[in-house]
Amino acid sequence: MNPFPRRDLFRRVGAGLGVLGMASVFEQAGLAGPLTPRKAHFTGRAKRVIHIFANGGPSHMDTFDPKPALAKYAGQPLPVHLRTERKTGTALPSPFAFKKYGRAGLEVSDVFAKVGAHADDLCVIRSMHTEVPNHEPSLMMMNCGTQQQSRPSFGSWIVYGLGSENQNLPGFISLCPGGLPIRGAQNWKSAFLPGAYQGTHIDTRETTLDKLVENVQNRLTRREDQQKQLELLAAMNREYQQTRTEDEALEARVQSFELAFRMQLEAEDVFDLSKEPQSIRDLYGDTLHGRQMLMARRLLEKGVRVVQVWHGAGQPWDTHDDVAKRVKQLGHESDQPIAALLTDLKQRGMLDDTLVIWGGEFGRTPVVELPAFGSNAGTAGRDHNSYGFSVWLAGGGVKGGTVHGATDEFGFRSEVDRVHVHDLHATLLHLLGFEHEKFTFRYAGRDFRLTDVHGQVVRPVLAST
Amino acid sequence: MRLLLLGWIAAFTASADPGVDFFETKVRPLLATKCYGCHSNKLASPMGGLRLDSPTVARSLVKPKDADASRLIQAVRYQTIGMPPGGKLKDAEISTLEQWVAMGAPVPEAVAAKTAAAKGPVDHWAWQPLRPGQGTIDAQVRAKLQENGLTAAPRADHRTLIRRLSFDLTGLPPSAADLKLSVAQAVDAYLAKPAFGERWARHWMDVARYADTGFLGRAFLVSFSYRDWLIDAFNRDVPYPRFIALQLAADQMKDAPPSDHAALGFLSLGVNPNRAVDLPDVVDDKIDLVSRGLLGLTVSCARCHDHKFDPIPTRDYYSLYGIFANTRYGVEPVRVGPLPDFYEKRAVERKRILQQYIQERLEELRAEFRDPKEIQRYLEALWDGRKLDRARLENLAREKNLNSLLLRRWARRMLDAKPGDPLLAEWRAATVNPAVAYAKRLTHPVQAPWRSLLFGPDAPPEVPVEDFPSIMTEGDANTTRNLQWQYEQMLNDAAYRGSKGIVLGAQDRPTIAPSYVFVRGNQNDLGEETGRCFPSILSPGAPCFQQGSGRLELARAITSDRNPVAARILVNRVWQKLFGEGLVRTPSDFGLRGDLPTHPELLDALADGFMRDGGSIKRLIRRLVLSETYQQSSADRADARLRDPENKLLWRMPRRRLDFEALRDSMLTVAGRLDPTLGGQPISLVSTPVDPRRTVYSVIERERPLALLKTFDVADPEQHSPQRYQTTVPQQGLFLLNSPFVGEMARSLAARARDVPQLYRLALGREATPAELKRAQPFWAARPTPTTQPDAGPWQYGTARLDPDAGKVTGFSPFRYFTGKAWQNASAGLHPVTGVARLSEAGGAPGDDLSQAVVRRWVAPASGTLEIKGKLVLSVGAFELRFRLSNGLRGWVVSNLHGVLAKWRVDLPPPPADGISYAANPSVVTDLKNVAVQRGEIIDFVVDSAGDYEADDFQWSPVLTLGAQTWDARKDFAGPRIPPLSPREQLAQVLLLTNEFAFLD
Repeated sequence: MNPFPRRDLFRRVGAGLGVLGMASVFEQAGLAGPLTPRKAHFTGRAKRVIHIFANGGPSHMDTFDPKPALAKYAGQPLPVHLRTERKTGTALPSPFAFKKYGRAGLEVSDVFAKVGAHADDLCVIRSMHTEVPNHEPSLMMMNCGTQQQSRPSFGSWIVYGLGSENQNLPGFISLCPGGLPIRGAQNWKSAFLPGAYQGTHIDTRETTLDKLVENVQNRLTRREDQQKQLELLAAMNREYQQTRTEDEALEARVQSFELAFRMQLEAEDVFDLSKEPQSIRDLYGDTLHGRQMLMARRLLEKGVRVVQVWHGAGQPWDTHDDVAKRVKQLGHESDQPIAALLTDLKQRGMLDDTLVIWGGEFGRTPVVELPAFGSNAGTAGRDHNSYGFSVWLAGGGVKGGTVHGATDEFGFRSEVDRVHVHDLHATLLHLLGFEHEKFTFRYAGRDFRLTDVHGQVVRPVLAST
Repeated sequence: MRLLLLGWIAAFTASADPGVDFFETKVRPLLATKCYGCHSNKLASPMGGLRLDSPTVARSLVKPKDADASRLIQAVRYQTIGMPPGGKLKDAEISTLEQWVAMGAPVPEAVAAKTAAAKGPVDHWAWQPLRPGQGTIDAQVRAKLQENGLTAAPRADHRTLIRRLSFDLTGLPPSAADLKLSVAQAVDAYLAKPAFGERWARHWMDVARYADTGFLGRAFLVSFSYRDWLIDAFNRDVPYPRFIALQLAADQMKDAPPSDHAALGFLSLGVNPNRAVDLPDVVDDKIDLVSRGLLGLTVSCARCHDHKFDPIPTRDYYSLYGIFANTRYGVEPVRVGPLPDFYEKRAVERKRILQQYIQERLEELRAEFRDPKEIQRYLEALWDGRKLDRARLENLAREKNLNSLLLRRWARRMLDAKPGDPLLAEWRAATVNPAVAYAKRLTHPVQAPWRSLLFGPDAPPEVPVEDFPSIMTEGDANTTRNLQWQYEQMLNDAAYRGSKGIVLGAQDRPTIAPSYVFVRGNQNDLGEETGRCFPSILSPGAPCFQQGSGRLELARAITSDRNPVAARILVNRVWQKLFGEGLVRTPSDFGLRGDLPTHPELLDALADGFMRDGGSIKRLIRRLVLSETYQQSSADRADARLRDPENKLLWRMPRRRLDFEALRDSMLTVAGRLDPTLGGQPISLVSTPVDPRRTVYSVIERERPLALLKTFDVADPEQHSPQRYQTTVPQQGLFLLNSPFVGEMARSLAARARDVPQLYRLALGREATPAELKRAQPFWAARPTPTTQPDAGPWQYGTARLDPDAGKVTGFSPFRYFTGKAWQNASAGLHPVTGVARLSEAGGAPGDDLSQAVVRRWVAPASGTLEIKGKLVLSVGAFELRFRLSNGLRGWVVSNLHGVLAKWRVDLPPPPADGISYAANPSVVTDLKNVAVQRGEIIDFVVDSAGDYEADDFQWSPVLTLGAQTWDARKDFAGPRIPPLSPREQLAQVLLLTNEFAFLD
């Protein structure tokens, strides 16, 4: 009596010998799961996505969008002054030096020197813009394509559309150390899509497995005892089903225990970073951000469709104060891990079909924020900026070594080849094989889209095929 | 739309017609932004009588496939009349229109037809008067079956029926005694149980998008008073018209006691004001809730343009908008009794601080607005923009970095001034030499007529207090929001500790503002005035509402016997909960794109009976469950399945999986653990030990939903939820196999059973078969595998009374629950006695006073010399410091042998000179050296509130060194140790995991 006739198959998967979609197990049983791989509208260049979210709104003038003109106006009002969320004053030049990298001579500040070394793989979009300079709505815009309404996150959309390559792990995982970002799980919600497409949050500051993934570790029984339990369960369920044939829901629930059992092993394996050679661990660095980026790569390699890596709980890149010190620190934390990810994906041949996105929910002002109670502590910082900011893409069908669009002379407002967040989403979906205008879900009387009624694919950032 | 995992098909498909797509995504938006301004049927007299928002009209202006001969194209090319007059379209835009013409100028036929139809009555079934069919439920169902060559299933067996009824009516498994009742007796018994209300309240909470916490995780004001009201209302069988009226307008009903105001939680527990969202989104939440939840209309689709498919014009959206924008939600409680004195005083004080802050800031801002330079900025911008309408003025404010409210005030003062007002001449003169004019005229002594611009109620800088939110800075927004939360928290603390003095509510705004269409959803672009009215399709020609916001009239209109829709919707919802699927399978969309009813006459007969019966939900349920249709067997029949695979004709009762609430409550019941207490503050589902209250009492966090709830498809609390998904994912299996909850249930269940047969009776309510007995035997007979019990360690966590004079800690009482992050006495929220007292790895919070100090207790495992290193930090930021919300706290190290070894006080630092750079998180170092301890000596790390528990979160995680060994309070911190399950307990767990346990035949 063997409840798991395909256990040997699983052993191979559990041992990490490669991505073997559990879909095949389902298919043998004539079943399809919510995560069963599916085809998009056409074959996309990217198969999976990693979004490195510098949450809080990273300063583009201090990272990927050099603005030497600010130095001329240091301490003086700029000729351009757009309305800002808080009171702002005179020009604040970047305290960081920019250098040219790669064949294309892409300019990147010292904050991201190691990422800069990958310039020929990067496509920096310097003309991003969004709606308002507030975190909450802008986070929703970046993640869900709308500021206020309850809509599914792009990760949920993608997994809904493509399924996932690994049925033993969630299809969409959000790594965020130390707790939750502002607006919590709203950022990876499935909203009106089924719960199976909700992002799964993992607090990467935790180190024990069952704190990483809820209930994944069995502390109630030994593994061999649990196998005996499952054999008894299978027998009872079989008997129950004898008089209740043709009920797929019963069979699905039987299967789900089998999957859960396997998930325990799979999770144990994927989150065990000690399985990586020392050289790889050194590449990422033995820091919180190094470890979580390595974890992200392991998840991608195992077939997880979408991984989001947050810088941290709250809004770490929200540098209202002391840009010189804080941006440096934030860059210091994430530069090496991101560079390592790019190196590592490349050496594994995964960069070609993995879309890497870096950025925040908006940018920051080129002018200094004035001190005010309830807002800041009054040291040279920058306010939120929804008029202009930068993101970069790499891999997955993106044209490397390019800069797309530009902000004005000071970095206040996106001016040339403006790219709205909706356009970024349209491009993201395009790279995965979706026509964003036809990728819909009917709910409450409407066919909803990630891009709502907006969005244009940004063709110039696509690599030629 | 029951989404089983099986047969899943990705449901994204190309829209039927690319031409229509092109029109909707490219052409219509272009027409909307460039042409509707003058050519729209929303205008009283559109220019040239042209209404371009009708696609057919747009089409009539072109010659399909011949752009050059199309009037529209000629006009935009400026070949003929030159449209739009303000400036030629961009080439790309013209080419879009040309492309559309080249495609044959496709327009959505359905839309074209519907728009035309909206003018007259629409022939859609859902909006017709009831046409009840003849005969009983069974007669009507059978007639349909017969028509299709099918027959009903035989009656299910008695045990199956009782189990079905027990779950459907109470959400709990039947007791052994229940099985002895007849079906009719069981129905009466279940309808009379308080558990009935708990079950059906939870169904309604899906409709009402119930949550306990909202934006940024803050608790709503006494959220659970609404949940408890619902439970009570279902148990009292409040008639449906009143049930709805109370939830929409209890505050306006003279016969509604204050306790019934809790019903307004229906509206208030949603997207809330003062939660950093704009009013339009607050209102949209209510419109969506009421229109989909109560009327099956997807009115929210009409926020920016007329509904694409249903005859719902944008005007209808804004008629409802006027109702809900004139209501305030859950910012003031309703009194039903006294609050404890302490909280009453605190709440008043908090409110005073808030008002004082606003007043002070208002004065400061007015002074800024009177600054001559500021006035110059506004008046110069206004001079340039003096010909602009309101929407363009809004844009101007944005461009010039001006406050839009203040600019509007200036506009009103200057642009509406009577000709001949001397100010106008002055203003004109000032444009010549502004620097001199403004600086001179507006500095003291202020010259007439400028003086009237600075002071007095009409002076633009004199912004009234109610407009403070429109002029406040982002810092003010944060601060006032936090102060409002402080106020609410005082009220909530009282309620969460058991006071029944307040419920949440909603009120009309003091002055009712008129409502206008927002053109294309833009709140700065006002269209026609709408009034506050019922959707036109449901009440053609009916007058609009007059009393206040109109909520009461709205409720009356919804439940009026002239409105067939609300009763159909409600009856269908009840049917769906009992039969798995509704008679209409899109229970919140009865529009043109919703499903048609499978049994229209039956639906109408039920709705008709329900209304004639005064809207008794209990009697409706009784009617349904006493039908033979409900009492059918769920057995499969291959031939019937072939003809009607979705069982739309009800040839059997569907087999259903228990939802999460029923599953968890069942486990608690069979484990003998269920605590049947009704109502009260929310509980945690993930505490250890288990909080054995029913699942309906789980805390529901809108922004931080428990993964567990999502995993088991519990309704998303963000918006109205028509029905639950039913997915099967491995995370469900993980919870059932490995969670401490199921482990604890298995343990309790096993402990109740003498032998295997009794275990089966308890878990599954039946006798075990011989084969089952045989299979169970190895588990029952096996001896537990010996396991070494993990050392509990030297730490304990609890509260105690601290006697500072005697230097003694007495009455140490360990905390009851571990939440996963902290030890405390309530599984969630506050404990009635010890309040906020808790300990976590880094610190915690003390209770009210010295009798509720928190104690991190360490028992010396050996004698020796102890060294203690640590830092006691009061976790307060600039906000708490500025408003002196904390009075500081005290820390003590106390030995049971030697009394107080050391004590510290953490006080608030003085405010900084600049009023901004507060020194957050004041602290003291708590190092001790050379403390001689004996084995077994108790060292207590005690923190007390110094007499006032508010804002006393602290961090203190000392590190102790004794000889070569170190104990680190943070690293050693842990929840309860859970021993492994014995074989018998493993067997019990298996029974809880079976399909038999989880499904309902």
